[in-house]
Amino acid sequence: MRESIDVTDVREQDPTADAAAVLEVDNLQVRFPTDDGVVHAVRGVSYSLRPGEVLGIVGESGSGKSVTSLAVMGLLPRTARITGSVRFRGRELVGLNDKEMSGVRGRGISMVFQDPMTSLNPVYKIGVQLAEALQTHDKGMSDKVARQRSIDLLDLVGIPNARARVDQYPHEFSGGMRQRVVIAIAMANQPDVIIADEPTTALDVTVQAQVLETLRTAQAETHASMVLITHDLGVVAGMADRVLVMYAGKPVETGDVDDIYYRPRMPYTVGLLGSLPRVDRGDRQRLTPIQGSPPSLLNLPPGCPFTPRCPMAQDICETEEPPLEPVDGIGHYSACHFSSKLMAKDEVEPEEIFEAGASTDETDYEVET
Amino acid sequence: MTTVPTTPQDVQAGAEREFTVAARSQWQMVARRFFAHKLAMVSLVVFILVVAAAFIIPLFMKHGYQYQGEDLSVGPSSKHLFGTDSIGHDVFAEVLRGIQTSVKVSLLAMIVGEVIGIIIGAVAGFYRGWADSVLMRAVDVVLTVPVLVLVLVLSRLTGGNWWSMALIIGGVTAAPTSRLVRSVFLSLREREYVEAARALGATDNRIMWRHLLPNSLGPIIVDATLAVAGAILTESALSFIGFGIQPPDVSLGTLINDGVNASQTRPWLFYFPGLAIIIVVLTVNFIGDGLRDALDPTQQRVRA
Amino acid sequence: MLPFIVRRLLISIVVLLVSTFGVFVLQANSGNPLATLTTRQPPPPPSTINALRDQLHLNVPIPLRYFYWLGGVLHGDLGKNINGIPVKSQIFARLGTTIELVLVAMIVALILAVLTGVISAVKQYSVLDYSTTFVGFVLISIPTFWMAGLLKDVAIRINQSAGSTIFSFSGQSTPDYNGGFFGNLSDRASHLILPTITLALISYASWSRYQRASMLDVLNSDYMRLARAKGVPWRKVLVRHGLRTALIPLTTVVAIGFGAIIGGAVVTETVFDWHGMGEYLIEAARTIDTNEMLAWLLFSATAVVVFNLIADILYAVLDPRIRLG
Repeated sequence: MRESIDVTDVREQDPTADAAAVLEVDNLQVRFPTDDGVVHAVRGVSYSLRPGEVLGIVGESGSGKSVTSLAVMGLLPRTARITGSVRFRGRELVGLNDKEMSGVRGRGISMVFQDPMTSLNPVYKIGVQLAEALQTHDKGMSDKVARQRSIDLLDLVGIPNARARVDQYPHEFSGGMRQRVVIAIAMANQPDVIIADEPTTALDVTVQAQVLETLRTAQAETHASMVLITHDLGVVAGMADRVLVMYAGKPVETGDVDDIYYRPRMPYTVGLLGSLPRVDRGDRQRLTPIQGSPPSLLNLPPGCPFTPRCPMAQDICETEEPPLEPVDGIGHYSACHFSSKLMAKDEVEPEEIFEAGASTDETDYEVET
Repeated sequence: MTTVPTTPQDVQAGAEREFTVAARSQWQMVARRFFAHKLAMVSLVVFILVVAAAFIIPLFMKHGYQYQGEDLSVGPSSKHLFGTDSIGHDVFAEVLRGIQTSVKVSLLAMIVGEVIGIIIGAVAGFYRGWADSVLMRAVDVVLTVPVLVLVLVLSRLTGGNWWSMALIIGGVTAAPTSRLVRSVFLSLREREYVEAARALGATDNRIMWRHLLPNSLGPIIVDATLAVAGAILTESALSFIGFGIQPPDVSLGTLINDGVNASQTRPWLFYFPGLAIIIVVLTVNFIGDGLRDALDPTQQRVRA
Repeated sequence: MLPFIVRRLLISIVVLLVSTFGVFVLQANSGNPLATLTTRQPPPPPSTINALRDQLHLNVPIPLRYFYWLGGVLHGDLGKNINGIPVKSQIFARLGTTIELVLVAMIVALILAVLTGVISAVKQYSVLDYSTTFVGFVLISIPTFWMAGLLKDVAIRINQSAGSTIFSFSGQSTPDYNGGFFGNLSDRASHLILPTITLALISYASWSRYQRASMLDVLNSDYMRLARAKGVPWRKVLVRHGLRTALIPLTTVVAIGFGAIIGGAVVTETVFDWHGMGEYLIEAARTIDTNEMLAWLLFSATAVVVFNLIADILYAVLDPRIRLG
């Protein structure tokens, strides 16, 4: 009896499934009951992932970007309440039991986590942990073959002297190398989707580039689609085809990577770009940090959650939460009552919207109407 | 025009919309968490009541625990709440006296043990080097002998009064406490605020007593409650085998010793003193658990 | 690892020397071992008392006395007790008795602790979790000697209502009993069960809490999550990644608890009339019999030291991050 589900079978079973989209998330919501009340961590995320596409999900801490991906993988704690739909190759994943989900994890969709220092079990050798990924989905694979495959995978991700290192323990590897091992594990079974949750956040800048390169390799080898979650816009710029910007549990802008970077239509996106130091600009610029901090998802007030920090906010922003609506550009959506104001310019300079270095100033700022 | 909230004050005001909780001092938060731990709260109340009863009720009783009345080996009745023993002692009065002994011994033992343990552990953990090695080797030696055995041997050196027992028990339990304090100090001394204090010119003493000790209070307090519970059990065990409190004074251990072979025919001699120990120690343990939760909020409790 | 073991053994020997010397000094100062002899009626002749005094080296300063004893030990002679009986002949039988009790109790406690600790952690905040935690608290609040008495009382009542001796509570086995292999075995078992439960229950309660905490730590770890993300089913993840890693701290906990078990055995043997090391110790303390006391300490301290050494080695074997240099 085959325990792992063959994903291609599913596709043949459901002819109405959208053959173009590998992963379809539709109005995903996640709620956590806590001692202080219900935290609405994810408030309606939707996206569609095509084969070979890289989607970058960007947001601050607490925006719900990690929770969304954990929900897709079914790795949230039992207390989490998940509603909405997640379809992988046409098959609904929300509501599957652990056994069924285990067939998908690591084979159809695999994941790379943030902290490489704690992602690997310290008491097992690297080779054993790699072989586990392989043999879980191929019960018939012999230990010898699994070991060889593990060595090949280590080679692929750029671990030197793989044949010797496959018998070492995680604590004998550096952070960057451990992350590469985790990526190797993620690509071991030729998945269709790789979700990388802040894969470079815990690493030094120089190592970050290596790990991103490894991710590119993984994508090239497996032809998988990728969901790249990060708060670092620089990381996204180099790798993503499309970008989804999240704030307070909801997407606030989504579109092509060029559209997002050069034609942002939501003040939060503008602010994010403005707080990014740009080496490609010749002139000296001041950074335009967004004041304040993200709202608590415990008692979210009505209206647009970005209102307290938004320089363009008006009364309507406090009462009505703007829906995600199409703006200029194919597949470009923005959730702002006043995206039209931003559309008036072809390219938006953050300093025009956010006062540069305004953290100590007390002057009011007016926006042209 | 616009009513745009862009000044820092406006942003702050907007953010406060969502937060209706007021700022609290650190100890207020600890207290708040402790009171939320229902079992600990109930235990605290019960413990205080029992201890108060043990010290206050005998003042109003006609006859003390040493009085030998006429009713011999009588079961619980309205005259003798817990019955009497074969010589006519009122068991209720004896149990109350026993609780007094337990409380006195354990509190003194805890204080002695914690003070000695903190000093040894702090010096070892802070200075390291040969002071650490010497002290910890000594502690190791003490730890190879089981607590009961060590106390047993030492008890022969002193009389059978409660405070000498407390000193012995406290001295012996200083060993595991010093281990704990040492490891806490070891981890704390690497923190940045120690470096910062040094950069400001603080002396070793100042750093130890003004910075490190207050920050180690959490585990120390929890250890202290465990020490109280342990001391009660150790003292009663010692008294049970005859090396602790000596007659005519009474301890819950001696009472149980008297009653253990009579549990079939006169169960009140065995069960009442036992229940007394259990209730006292159990409440102390729950209080300790509540304190642990209150002082270390890193555990997130999610409603099931 | 070998240099580590050698170093530890050397340190252990020093520890043994210091602790035996310390206890020796305490014992020597705690009273006059001849007192029981001199107050006997009718008093023995002075020659007997003097002979005993010489034999016990009471005329000689304390440190020298200790070296006499130490010299004897290195020749395999543990000296004679106050009544002139060689300690060696008495102590080994008692050692066997206590080992039987302690070993069985530890194994039972360990198995129970792992089971309840793991299940409590996996089903955190469930009714099962809360009730086992509560029961655990109650158990560690019960004095060992009272628990022993309680079990004895309950056992007698069960025996009475059942009309037969299911539980025996006096001694290790029925004297002069010979019912063949299985008969003897069940006889020993019926004698073993109550003291074992007494000792096991209290250790179990505290070990179970540690196991629960350790398991909870592991359950929230990133590597558990990664293992699940690989597609390993929950049960397998629990055992292969969870249990394996969560058991490691238990070695330290058990090693520390070993001393407490010995202390508990002292009391338990008293209540159940087991003629083991515990009873021996109490008698030695009562009569201020130094040779008996020191022999007891020698064995007990050695056991503790060896136990700790095994625990440390086991820890290093289980956790590759700890490599003993």
